[in-house]
Amino acid sequence: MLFPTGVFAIFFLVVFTLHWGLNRWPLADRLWLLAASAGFYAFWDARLCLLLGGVGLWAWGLGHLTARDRRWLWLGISGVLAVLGLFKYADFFLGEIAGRFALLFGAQPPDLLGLVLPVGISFYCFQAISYMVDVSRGELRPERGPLNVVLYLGFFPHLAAGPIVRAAHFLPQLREPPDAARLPTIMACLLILGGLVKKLWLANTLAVELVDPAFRDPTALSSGRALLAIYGYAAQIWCDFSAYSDMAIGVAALLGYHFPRNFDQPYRAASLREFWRRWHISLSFWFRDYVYKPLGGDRGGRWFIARNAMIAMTLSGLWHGAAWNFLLWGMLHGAALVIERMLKLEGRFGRIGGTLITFHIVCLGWVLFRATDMSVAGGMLAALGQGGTGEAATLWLAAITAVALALHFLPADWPQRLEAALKPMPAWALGLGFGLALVIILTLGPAGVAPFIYFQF
Amino acid sequence: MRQPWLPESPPLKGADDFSAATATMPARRAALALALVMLLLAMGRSAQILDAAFGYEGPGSEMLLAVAEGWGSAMEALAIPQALEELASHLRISE
Repeated sequence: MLFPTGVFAIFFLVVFTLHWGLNRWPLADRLWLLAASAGFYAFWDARLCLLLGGVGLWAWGLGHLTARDRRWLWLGISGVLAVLGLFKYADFFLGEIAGRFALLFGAQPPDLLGLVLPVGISFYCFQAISYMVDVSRGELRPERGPLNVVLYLGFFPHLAAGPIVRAAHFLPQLREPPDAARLPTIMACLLILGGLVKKLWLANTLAVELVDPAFRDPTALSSGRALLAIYGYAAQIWCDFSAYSDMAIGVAALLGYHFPRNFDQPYRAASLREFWRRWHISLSFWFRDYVYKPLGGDRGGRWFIARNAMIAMTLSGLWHGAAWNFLLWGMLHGAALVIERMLKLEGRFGRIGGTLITFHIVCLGWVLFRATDMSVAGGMLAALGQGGTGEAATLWLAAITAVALALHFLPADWPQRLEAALKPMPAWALGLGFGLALVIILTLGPAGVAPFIYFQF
Repeated sequence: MRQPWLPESPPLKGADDFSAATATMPARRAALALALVMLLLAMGRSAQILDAAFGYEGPGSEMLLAVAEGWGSAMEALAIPQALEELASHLRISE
């Protein structure tokens, strides 16, 4: 079930009504949210709910053991990583091994497992690890029953594509019923409507008209069109993923729960280090707190720090998918971060120079990230030197790309300013205004909704 | 409490969409606003609702189709789909 669909609108209205209706009965309310989340997940495949429930029960049980003896943490993390490895990485590694084997001995490669990648598995597995680690560190007391832990992992607004909310931030919100007298309705609706504009008007248009055709056959592109397609993908992936995050944050807020901001105008960053504080913030902080710091973080010599950064970023690449392009994407970012730090490049080129350099390094990474295989990535980069032959760039596509990127340079607090302007309006007027805006957004957007890019992770 | 729009919550460390200054309203008023959003959505998407009803083959499909057709006709009488089509023909976001 996708957010920008009529089915989700009806689903959400039912969830919203019953959730607030059950506000005085917290247990019934949480059971209702769990049932609704299971229903949301079952839209893809009902069997996935068993997997999600299993991971939740495992995290809850091991959380209790970990609270008594920290050594249990390794078993807990290993169990979750085994599930993730089986569904997400087994076929990749088996395929690689079988391919090498067939090459060496000329034998027929064996069949792969052919497991379907469950939607959102990377997100809820990481949250399961977050719960166990936070409990082991004493930042969170273990939950008495499994309900809150399973609901934390499976809460439908962030189930399919995050944000990865820290257990220590979200579980305390589940322990008390949300405040029915104070709902941040205006900001939540602004986030949802803004997300719809980014997804339907910008991301979908860029995908269909510019990026997908370009990456399908890079040999047909002029260098201008190839460059525009790369910029277009940078804009598309931000519009697509930040749209999902904004809508998830807005939907959760309408139910009285808070998810932290996941994107903060990332292409404004003047260094790679700053970029990772602005892009997919929940994942960056997850790797910082659960991988980079436990490896030793900044506490050591420059090569020790470089090693830690490379490991964290390479794993971050691998988290996105079991493929060489994601691995190389992570390693590219790791190497760029290490070079930036070792040569003390941060701040050396001024704000504008740093922003331009950072943006182009990020774009180079996006070529690897978007390419279906390395030959496509090579083809895109080769097309940049192809000159004027091939399919040319059009003004319309350049304008859409420019608009999407220009959103980064709006004042950072523009939603808050808009909210302040709308604050005096009565609820009925807000409802009519938001409803009209929603109809216009849907009417002017392209027909149909493409799945969000991050659903595949 | 961890919701930053509640003044008794501890302040968040990083930048966020919500803060203690975020405007709030009671759930009942939010429900009224959302109900109006849904009403306008149903008015503006009557053609899509009819398409969905045609594609639905489960229990109650005939009744659903009849309701969708009635709703679609009412919206046609109000000229809402025509007005939106006119708007889309001039301003649709595509080449």
